[in-house]
Amino acid sequence: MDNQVLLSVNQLKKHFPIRKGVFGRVVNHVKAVDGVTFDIHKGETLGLAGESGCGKTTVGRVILRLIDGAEGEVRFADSRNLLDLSQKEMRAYRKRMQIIFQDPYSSLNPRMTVGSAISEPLKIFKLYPEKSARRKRCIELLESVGLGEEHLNRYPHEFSGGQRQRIGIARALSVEPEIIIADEPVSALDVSIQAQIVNLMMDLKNEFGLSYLFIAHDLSVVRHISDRIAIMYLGRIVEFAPTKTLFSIPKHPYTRALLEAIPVPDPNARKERRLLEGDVPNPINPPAGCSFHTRCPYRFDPCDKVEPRLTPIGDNQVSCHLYDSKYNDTIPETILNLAPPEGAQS
Amino acid sequence: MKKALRHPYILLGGGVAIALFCVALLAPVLAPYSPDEIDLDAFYQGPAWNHWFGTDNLGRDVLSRVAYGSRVSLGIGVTTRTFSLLIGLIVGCLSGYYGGKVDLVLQRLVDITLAFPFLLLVISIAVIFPQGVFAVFISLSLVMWAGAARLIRAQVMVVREREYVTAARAFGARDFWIVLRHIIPNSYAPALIWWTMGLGQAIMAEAGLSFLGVGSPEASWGGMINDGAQALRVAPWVSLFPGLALALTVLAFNLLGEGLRDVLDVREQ
Repeated sequence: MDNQVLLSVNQLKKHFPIRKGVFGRVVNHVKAVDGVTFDIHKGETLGLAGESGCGKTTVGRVILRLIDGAEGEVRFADSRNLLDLSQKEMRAYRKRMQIIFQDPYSSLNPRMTVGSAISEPLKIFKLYPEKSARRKRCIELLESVGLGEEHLNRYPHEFSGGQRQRIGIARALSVEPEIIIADEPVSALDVSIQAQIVNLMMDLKNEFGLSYLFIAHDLSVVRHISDRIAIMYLGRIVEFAPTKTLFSIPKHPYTRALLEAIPVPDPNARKERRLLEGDVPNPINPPAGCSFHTRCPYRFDPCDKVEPRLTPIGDNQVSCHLYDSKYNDTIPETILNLAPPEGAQS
Repeated sequence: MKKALRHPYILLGGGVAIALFCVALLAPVLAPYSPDEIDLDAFYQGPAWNHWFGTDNLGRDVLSRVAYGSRVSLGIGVTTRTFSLLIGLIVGCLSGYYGGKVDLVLQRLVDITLAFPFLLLVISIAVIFPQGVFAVFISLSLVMWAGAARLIRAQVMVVREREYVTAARAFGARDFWIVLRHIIPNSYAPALIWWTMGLGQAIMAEAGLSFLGVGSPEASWGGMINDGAQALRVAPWVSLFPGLALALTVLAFNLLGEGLRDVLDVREQ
């Protein structure tokens, strides 16, 4: 991994309007993404994890301009802000940024053979204009994802979920992108197949020098593939750290809760688990202050009033008042006795 | 395709439909008389060896007129269904794919068309044009498209949200490409069924127009039923045979539509 920033996202916001009545008056907004900032370096895999509905899928789609109307800044390599481009100008970047979808069943057109699905992007970008060259390229792509020529003329319904996901990957690779946004690429697959697909993606990354934005809710999958991980909660990043650090010294209470929720494959291991109570609050009316305070076992005085900011603490970046020196003296004893997150107050 | 050819409804409905088209094409060969030829010895003659289906009030051979009438009736049916499907396809795709204001405007147009009683609207459009087959064709098409538009719009709205459409957009595919290659191939099945199922309706509407006197001046099934209605008690065969032909046609195309519905049931998984 070198240090060249490939994709930089700055203060990304996407609020979906809620309309009511005959005239479609906007009565409120769902704040799906509310100020997300991160960089992806060349050759890096950034994991973006969080519960369902936290806005991680929206982040991926907004970056690719599959959802319009976002605020903030998205730059690819040294491009202009992608959010300011017209769809026509955006086309130039579509060849360099691709996406893999969650549902391998709906991501392939049931009436198109595998060959025509994979060659569709080639046709759109007018790559390999000759039919025989295009066919050769398709076979090459199928082979690189572990399928072969014999699959070229078959239809999607003849394949299993894992195979379909391979086809989706081959289609994304066809235009030789530099970065692939993988939107929960394995969560719809059987566990035994998940590992195969994740390993395939890691192999392809090395082979083609790809970078990934790997969106998932399963932390054990994210851990396996990512160099760095961003944890999202209610449209914001609450913790951002290199994978090793995140798993060894998680700082944010939410990250801790997520890690504690991962099952341990040892029936005798008695782990202290503190499961989160309650549900994710409504993103139409996120709680004031820290959006996690309603479920946080460590909440104290400023949490429901003051919004924490993402600040570097060691290798991590955390958005939590527990680590703010300003509140050092005000953290109540009872909370400190709750086995505080490592590094708090130190 | 193989599955389609083994389906009993498609075999039966399709077989009868093909036979009817053959009759229409070969009418001059099959019909024993010219449709307008008058037999002065036989007004309202019942079915007999020289006139299988009898004759009408002017002594014209009903069998020959039914054969020739199939040209007008089937011709009107097929052309109006096809043309209204085409309009419906364009409107439905625009409406369903773009949504928003485009959808709002186009759907109000559909609402207006559907709000009028069907035959009343058809008649009021038909009278604008000089009486003839063309007036029937254009007036029926301009009314029947609305049903297709609504059906296709709903289907397009479903398909539009599929991830393969998003994938195509991620590859920079243009709207026209997406509609042509992804949306239409995945939403044509209900439209095809609509086409066949409504063919009978189109022929009946033509019959209705002829019955009301704004239809085709040439022999058509509807017109013949109308002619015969005046003498239903003394010469029921004048109406009966074109009526049977009409019923057979409608039945055949409905069977075909039912069969297609079974076969085209999209294999999503």
